[in-house]
Amino acid sequence: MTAAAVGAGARARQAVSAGALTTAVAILVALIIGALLILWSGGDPLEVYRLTVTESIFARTGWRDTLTQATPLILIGLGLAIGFRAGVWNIGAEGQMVLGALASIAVLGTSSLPPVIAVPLGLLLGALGGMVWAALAGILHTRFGVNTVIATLLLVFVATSLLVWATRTVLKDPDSRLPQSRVIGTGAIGDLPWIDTGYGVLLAFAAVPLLHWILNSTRFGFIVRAHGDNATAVYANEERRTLVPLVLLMLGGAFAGIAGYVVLASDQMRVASGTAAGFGFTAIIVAILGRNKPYGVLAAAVGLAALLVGAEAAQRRTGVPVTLMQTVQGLIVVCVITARALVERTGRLARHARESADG
Amino acid sequence: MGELAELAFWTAILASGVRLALSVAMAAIGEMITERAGVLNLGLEGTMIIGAFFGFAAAWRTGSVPVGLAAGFVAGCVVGGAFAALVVGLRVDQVVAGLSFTLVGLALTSFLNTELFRDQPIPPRSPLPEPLAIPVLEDLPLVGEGLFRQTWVAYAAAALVAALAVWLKRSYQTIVLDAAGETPEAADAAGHSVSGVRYRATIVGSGLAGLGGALLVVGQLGFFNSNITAGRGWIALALVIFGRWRPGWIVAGAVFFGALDALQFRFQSLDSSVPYEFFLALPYLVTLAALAVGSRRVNAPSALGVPYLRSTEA
Repeated sequence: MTAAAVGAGARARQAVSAGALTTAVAILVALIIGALLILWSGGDPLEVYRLTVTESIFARTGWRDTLTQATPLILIGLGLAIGFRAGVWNIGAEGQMVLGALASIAVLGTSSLPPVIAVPLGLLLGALGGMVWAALAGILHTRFGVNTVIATLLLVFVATSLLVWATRTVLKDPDSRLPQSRVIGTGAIGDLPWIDTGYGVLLAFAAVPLLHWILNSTRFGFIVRAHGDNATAVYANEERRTLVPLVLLMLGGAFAGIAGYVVLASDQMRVASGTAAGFGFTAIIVAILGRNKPYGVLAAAVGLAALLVGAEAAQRRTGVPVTLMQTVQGLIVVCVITARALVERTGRLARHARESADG
Repeated sequence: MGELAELAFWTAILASGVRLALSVAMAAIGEMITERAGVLNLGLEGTMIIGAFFGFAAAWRTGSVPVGLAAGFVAGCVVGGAFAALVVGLRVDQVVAGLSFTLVGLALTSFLNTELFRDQPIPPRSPLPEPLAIPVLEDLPLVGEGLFRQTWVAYAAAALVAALAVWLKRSYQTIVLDAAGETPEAADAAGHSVSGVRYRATIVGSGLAGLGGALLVVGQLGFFNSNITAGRGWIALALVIFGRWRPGWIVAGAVFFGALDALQFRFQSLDSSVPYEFFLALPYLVTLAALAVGSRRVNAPSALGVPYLRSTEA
């Protein structure tokens, strides 16, 4: 190995650890701002943070809840990340998740198929439901030039209305007085022994290396990455102009829809107004924090899930509301993107200084 | 419905339409100014709700509506300054920054709301502005109630929107604004600081969005809830595209949206064969349809969302 290659390798390792350090410092800053907010509200920040960590990581129920919450975040985050990587913004996963859950309950709510058939069918229906909903936004974008951010988001409000209507009328459980669907029945997903988290978590964890491979080692992955860097170049290379955004939106929708079924079948059992529970929006943070990389998404999803699970425990014990930790989540994103930009800027200035010194 | 009842119905729809439209129109005009300088602010929803919260808190504490409105504007400016520092100063991706600002805004106001008013026995209310009917004109059929039987806040807001629209049409600053958003190199070459223009446009635009939030809460409702803006920031963003970055069209779009929203409230209380959820979704469906029709013929600022890097910095 030549000296130059060794130098390049060391620099690459340095860059990776510098990136991790930047992120860590940024998260710390966000936590400090959060601590100031807790102090202002009359709480004890150290106690709140201590409870957040111990209740989410060191307690067995904490692990179970963290993995249960992380499952939909990983699934949706992966689907969004692959789109974001290509510069295709889908912020309507919340609605796509609802449609996935509605599609699977519509069929499985009244059937008595054996679980061997019902569960795969549920996954398929969930994926289809989310995919069709995302395709609406995709068609609005590719056919009519509507911005994907606006199209996907506005469809969330429509999906919410659809959910309210369906659980009040066509999908309503006739034996219940509440506006909610029947229970999922044989389509239910059991829990893993020992940790008591639904089997869906295995699906989420398995999807991470799969997407990593697709993104980095296939032609499709190459087009996705190239589209994010320079869409014009991809189109010049005879890829159809409309296809990439449409396919990626539908892929993101399918993942969100699957998450909708998984949450329904392993956790909530019925579809009601709280079905999507904000997972679709939190998954946007997950994808951004994970730098749109599958393993990054995994880490961010588990981290944010732990933060929320811990925050709920802290709310029960100290009365500091969960919205504080949601604020901290948002602040983490702001701090992380700021830190990344600052590092990039100093790097550029240093390069400048070097170049002018050489010249 | 008899003819008189029908007239009363549409008069009421128009009146609530105008009321609902004002806050959205204010935020949309703000966003339009920001976007014409080349900055896409997807943090609009978060900025609106921060303006709404601080406007409400100030009006509640001081008992004064004007103080509340001013606080909403200032809070919006502060948020805009932070956003501009990120996307103009540091050239952070505008979509990512905007989305995270919205997330922070929604969560933070919800947290502050529970904490600040925790000791209040009943949900606190801020004073509402006095209604101010304009004689003679208020009795005009159809438009009388909607346009001339509002509060002084509504007249002032409408006047501000109109003044902004005229100013944007006539002033030299608008040319500089558009240059920064269309051909930043040209603006730079002509001796204008592109960053300076974008900072100012983002701060003022966000201030107007904060004012829009305050108009809703301080000017009309008199109370604050988590997520009280309920997607109005996103509607305002859609209106900018729908109105093709022209103030007149944006205001017209806002009134249309407001009337639609008012219709939905009416239909919920009427016994109707159409499910009321359809009317809940209708404003969003109409906005999507309008965007589908209008988006192809847009004249979006060419440099919208593109950070400007001077050639000496590259």
